[in-house]
Amino acid sequence: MKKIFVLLLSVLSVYAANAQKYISKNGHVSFYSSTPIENIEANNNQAASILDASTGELVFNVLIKSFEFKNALMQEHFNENYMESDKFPKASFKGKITNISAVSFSKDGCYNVDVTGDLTIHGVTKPVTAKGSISVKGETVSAESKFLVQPSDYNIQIPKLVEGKIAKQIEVRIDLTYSKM
Amino acid sequence: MKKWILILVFIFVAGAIALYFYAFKKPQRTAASEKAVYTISAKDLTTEFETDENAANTRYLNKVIKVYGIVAGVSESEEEVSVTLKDGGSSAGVTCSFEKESVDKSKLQPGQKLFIKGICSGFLLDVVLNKCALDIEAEK
Repeated sequence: MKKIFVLLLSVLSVYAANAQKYISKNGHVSFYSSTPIENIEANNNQAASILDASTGELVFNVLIKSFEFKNALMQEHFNENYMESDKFPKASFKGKITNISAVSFSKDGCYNVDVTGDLTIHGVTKPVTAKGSISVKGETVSAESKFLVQPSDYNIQIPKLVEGKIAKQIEVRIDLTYSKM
Repeated sequence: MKKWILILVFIFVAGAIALYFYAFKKPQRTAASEKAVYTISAKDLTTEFETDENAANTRYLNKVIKVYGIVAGVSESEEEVSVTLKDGGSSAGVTCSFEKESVDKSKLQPGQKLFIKGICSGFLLDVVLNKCALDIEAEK
């Protein structure tokens, strides 16, 4: 009897852990490069992410080809020359919200979080940390973050000719709306 | 002599204008104006990406694909309308994004079978097609 109880409890706890996963399929990612010569902006509305509310584990993927620029030629160069998106179609993040216990998923509110993990862009993986926030409103959970990425860290080569037009530090903004999985 | 200079100036100006249009006014590529390279069911396309993502990437990335399947869901953001096509089976499907002005949302009803042309961007939780267009002719 006791065994059955334990088994039942463990099954239930697995179920509960599953229920605490959140998914987002159309998250928004944008980046900004600002220099005195030119400001460049690109948007992507198809970021996919899974957040485990109990452990704080966070996975995040975007397709490079889904970034849209105002200028079609710029988008072409971004894909073909800089990001080589045929070879490296995705950028991904795999990590953790280190202070997940500070977030109460059952209570409405906005919580500041620290994120740490590995960011892979252009086939190069680097450890990163960033600050962000999670807001809970009923069943929906949204997450926001803003951080800087340096193209040279990811072996992204920018030709001398356009060097002055592309910022050394690119600001990346992330805005996700999760729903229960 | 003067005539030659005038002709040179003219060529230079024409060249500069052409370059300007090429660099700044080049239209974004859309699936509507291109012929599909592959026609495949949403189920088969998803299976290909699930079994060997790299091979499927080499095959489909950046190409215009015509996909058919049942509409499982429609969602809308500020600029885009997304349709998820599924054919039962696995949990993954094909997400097709339309620019808002390029599609009549009333034509996208869950449960309906649709043919959609789009440019393949890759695979996340679903296979992603961008700059899509409805293929009305294929439905007839």
